[in-house]
Amino acid sequence: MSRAKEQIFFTSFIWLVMLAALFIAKDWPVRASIIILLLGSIDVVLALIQLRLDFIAARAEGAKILRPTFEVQAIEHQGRWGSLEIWAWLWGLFFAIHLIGFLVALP
Amino acid sequence: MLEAALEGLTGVLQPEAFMFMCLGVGIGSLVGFLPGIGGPSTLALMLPFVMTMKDPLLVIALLVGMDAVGNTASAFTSILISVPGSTGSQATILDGHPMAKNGEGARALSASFVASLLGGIFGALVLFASLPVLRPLVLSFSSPEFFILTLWGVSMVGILSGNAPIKGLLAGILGVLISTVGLDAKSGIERFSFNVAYFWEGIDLVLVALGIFAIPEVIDLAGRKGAIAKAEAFGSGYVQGIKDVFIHWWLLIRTSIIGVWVGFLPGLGSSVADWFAYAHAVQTEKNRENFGKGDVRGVIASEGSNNAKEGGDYIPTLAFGIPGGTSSALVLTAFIAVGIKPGPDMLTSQLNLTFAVIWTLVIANIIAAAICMIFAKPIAKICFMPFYVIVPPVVAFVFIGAFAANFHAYDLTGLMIFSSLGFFMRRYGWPRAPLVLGMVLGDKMELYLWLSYTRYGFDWLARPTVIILILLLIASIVYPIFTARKRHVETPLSEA
Repeated sequence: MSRAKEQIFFTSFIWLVMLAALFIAKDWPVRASIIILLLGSIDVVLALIQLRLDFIAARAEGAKILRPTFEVQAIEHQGRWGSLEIWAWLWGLFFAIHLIGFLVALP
Repeated sequence: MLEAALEGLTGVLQPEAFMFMCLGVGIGSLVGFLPGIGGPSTLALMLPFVMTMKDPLLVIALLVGMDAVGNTASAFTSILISVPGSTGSQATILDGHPMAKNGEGARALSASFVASLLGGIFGALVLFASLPVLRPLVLSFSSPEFFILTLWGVSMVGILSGNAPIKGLLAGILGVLISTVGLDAKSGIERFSFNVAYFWEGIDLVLVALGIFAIPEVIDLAGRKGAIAKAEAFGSGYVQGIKDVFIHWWLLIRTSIIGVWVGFLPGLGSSVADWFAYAHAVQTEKNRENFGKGDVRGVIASEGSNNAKEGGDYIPTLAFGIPGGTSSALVLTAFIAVGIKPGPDMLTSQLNLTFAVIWTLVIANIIAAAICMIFAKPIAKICFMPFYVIVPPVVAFVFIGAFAANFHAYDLTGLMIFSSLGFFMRRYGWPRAPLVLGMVLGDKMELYLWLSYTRYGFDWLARPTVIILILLLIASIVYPIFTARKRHVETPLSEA
């Protein structure tokens, strides 16, 4: 899957999270939900605009982006598995802590 | 004010506080000359440990000391191996690395250290000079103004910290929504807790900061295996580099002013300050043909501005409680946790702590510059440490730090979830700073909104200062999006 298509999935995910937050918060009293409804609605609209931009970018894939970037760009991982190797180590550590670490440490 | 200034100075010079400052400077410098581990990641790592400290002076000494010097030591990697040690030293590469290639590495390094030192002190002086101006302004503000300011902070950081304003705004608001998780004290409603008691206290910022910043950096660092550039020789001209800074003193002052201004504006971090300053140097200096080929003025401009930025960064952080960027957002979180209340209190009852910040900025810069200048050669060797030596201890610290947030197994699950989010945000060009800032400001935003409504009803929207701030807020959102769109339209046209 191309990077542009992956972006569409990620933006869709964020949009769905926002939508779910609004759906859950709508039944709460105003004092608990006002900020969520106010800003969440703005975010849902913004996410839709971003989705549209992602679709445009996906269609024009291959075009060079010439805008300056102020955050250091992530390194493109090489090889078949990309960054999966380090992720595997991290998840391995996570499960090892749960399966061995906690069992040994807890009384 | 003089009394508070002296109290602040004696506070940071106490043996314990001074020791913590030296520790902060040491860690900040180490992080600076190890490419890959950024300042925000390290601040996030320190949060769980710092939050258990009781004395606010020690927290200021450690964290401000660490934050103040990250860009000083990062010149090592920028100049010697053409890899920025921090985001604030990217522009240093343009002239610093060619100087190293020409056998003038030592000259570039000494110029960068002295420029960093003087830029850092300049930033602290501006912070000091701004206090009399800020005091009446901040004291005239009430909850409606502070609500708009929190909104402005999140939107400015969202729009400016990256090249994608909409993604930045989305991330900022997502951060605010994450901050709402937990038991709402005003209504007693469990928000997004899904009947899980762990969520009642809300999601700890430490988990989010570690996940969003530290793990993606570790993954990035692991991806560098075999990719570290060949190191250039140390070269000569150490004393000449120091002289260069004083020869070009006017350039240093101009670029330091740029650094302070960029730091003052929420959202524009040191990664922008060095580029702005470098561009200014290229545009305004005479005999500009050597820029990019090893001109020491490029190094002075970049390094002077990125350290001066820190002083500017603390102006909105301390006076309004609106952090200027990621690092100050994390420092602010630690401040609040140990009882320091950014806002009007920092200019009245806690003025001595504000001065402690100013003195720490000055002294930390002096210590860092001295360390870098005296131990330049041995430090230069550490820059080439392979990734497999750095990554395992960092991962261990991240997991320990995350677990220390609540000592609950869910802490680690939260860490992995936010690590995945941070990884994908980085991968797809979503700025991560707004998310953290949204989380920091989310609680305040909600509180100020509610206070404004209960005190004034909807009349607060008609207050003149609120109207002015709302207009500024709208302008700051619309203008960057408009210019970004204009540029987007113009680029294909010019390419065609």
